[in-house]
Amino acid sequence: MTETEFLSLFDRYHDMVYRLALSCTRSTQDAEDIVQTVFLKLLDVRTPPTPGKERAWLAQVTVNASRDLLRANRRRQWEPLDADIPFSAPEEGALFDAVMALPDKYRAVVHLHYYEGYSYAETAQILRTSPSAVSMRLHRARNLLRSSLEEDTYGPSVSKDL
Amino acid sequence: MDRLYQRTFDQIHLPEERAAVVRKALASRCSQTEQEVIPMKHFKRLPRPVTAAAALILVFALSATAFAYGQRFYSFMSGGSVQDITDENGQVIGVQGSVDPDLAVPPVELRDDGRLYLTANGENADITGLCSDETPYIYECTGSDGLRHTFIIGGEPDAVGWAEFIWDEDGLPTAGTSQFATPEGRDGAPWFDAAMEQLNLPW
Repeated sequence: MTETEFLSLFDRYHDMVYRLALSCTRSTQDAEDIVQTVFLKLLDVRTPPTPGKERAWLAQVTVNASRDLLRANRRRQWEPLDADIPFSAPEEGALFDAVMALPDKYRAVVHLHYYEGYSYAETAQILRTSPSAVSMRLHRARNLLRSSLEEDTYGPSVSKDL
Repeated sequence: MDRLYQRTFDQIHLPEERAAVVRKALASRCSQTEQEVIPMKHFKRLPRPVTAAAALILVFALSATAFAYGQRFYSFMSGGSVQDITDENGQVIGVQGSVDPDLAVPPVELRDDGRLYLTANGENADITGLCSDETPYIYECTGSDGLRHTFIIGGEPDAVGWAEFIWDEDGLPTAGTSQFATPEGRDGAPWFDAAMEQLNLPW
C-alpha cells in the first residue's frame, strides 16, 4: 500500500473508527487513542486488507482494540461518559445517552447495525459471533433503549420508533 | 431509529487538531527513515481480544531452563494444536503453541430459534438452560487421538464462551484453549472458574 493510498484510507475512515471506538469505550480519550492504534496496525500489517474490504477490516480491528482497552481498564465501565457533544436536537442527545448507557456487549452491535448499516451476518463476522447472537443482542438492546428513553423528557418521541 | 441514530452519530467526529496530529505522524512513519519519524504515543502491548483463542501454556520453571520442541503434537477438536517442549534432558516440561481464532470450530452453536446446541464431536444436543454466566456445561469425549477431551461451555446464549482441554495418557491436563465472548474475557466468565474448580484444573 502506498503512502497516498494509506492516507486516503485514513481520511476516509478515521471518523468511522472514532465513532465505533467511542461507542465501545464510552471515552473520547480512549477513542482517540484507538484511532491511532488501528491505523498503526493497518500500516504495519503484513497482509493488508483486500481493496474494498478495508472498512470491515478497520471495524474488526477497532472492536478488538476497544475490547482490549475495556478489559485492561475494567473500572472505566463504572465511570461516567466523558463525551460532551453539543447535539443539534435534544432527542439526539437523549438517544446518545441511552445508547451509551447500554451494557458493553450491546453498544458495538447497535452501532455496527444501525449506523454502519451492516447486516446481522456482517456484524456477526466483525464481532466473531453468530448472526443469531447479533439478532438477540439487538432485540435486547432495543428493549433496554425503549425503557430507558421512556423515562427521559425527550425520550417518548424516540422510543416509539424503536 | 436508523435515521435518528445516523443523525446523532453524524455529529461525532475525531477532533480536527487530533486528526491532523495523527495523520502527520502516520505520514511521517510511512515515508521517512527511523530517525525522522515523529514519535508516536507509546501504547502498552495488551493481550489478544477476548474472542481470541489462546493455547494455554503449561511450563514449569521455563525461565531457568533451556528448552526444545519435542516430537508430540496435541490437536484440539475445536481446531489448532500445540507441541510439547522438553528441557535439556529431554524431559517434557510443557506444551507451547498458539491457536488461530479464525480457524476455530466452536463446540457450541446458537441456532435461529434461540436455542443453544452442543456440536462438539458430532453431537447435536440442545443444552439451552444448562449453562449460564455462573454455571458451566461440561462435556467429555475421547478424541481420535485416543485422549480425553473436555469441553466447557458457559455464558448466556447471546454471549456464549467455551474452552477445550486435553488430558494425556496419565490423566494429567496437558493443553487448553478457550474463547470468551464478553469484553472482560476470563474476568467476566465465572462459569470458567467454576469449571476449573470442578475439574481440578490448574489454570
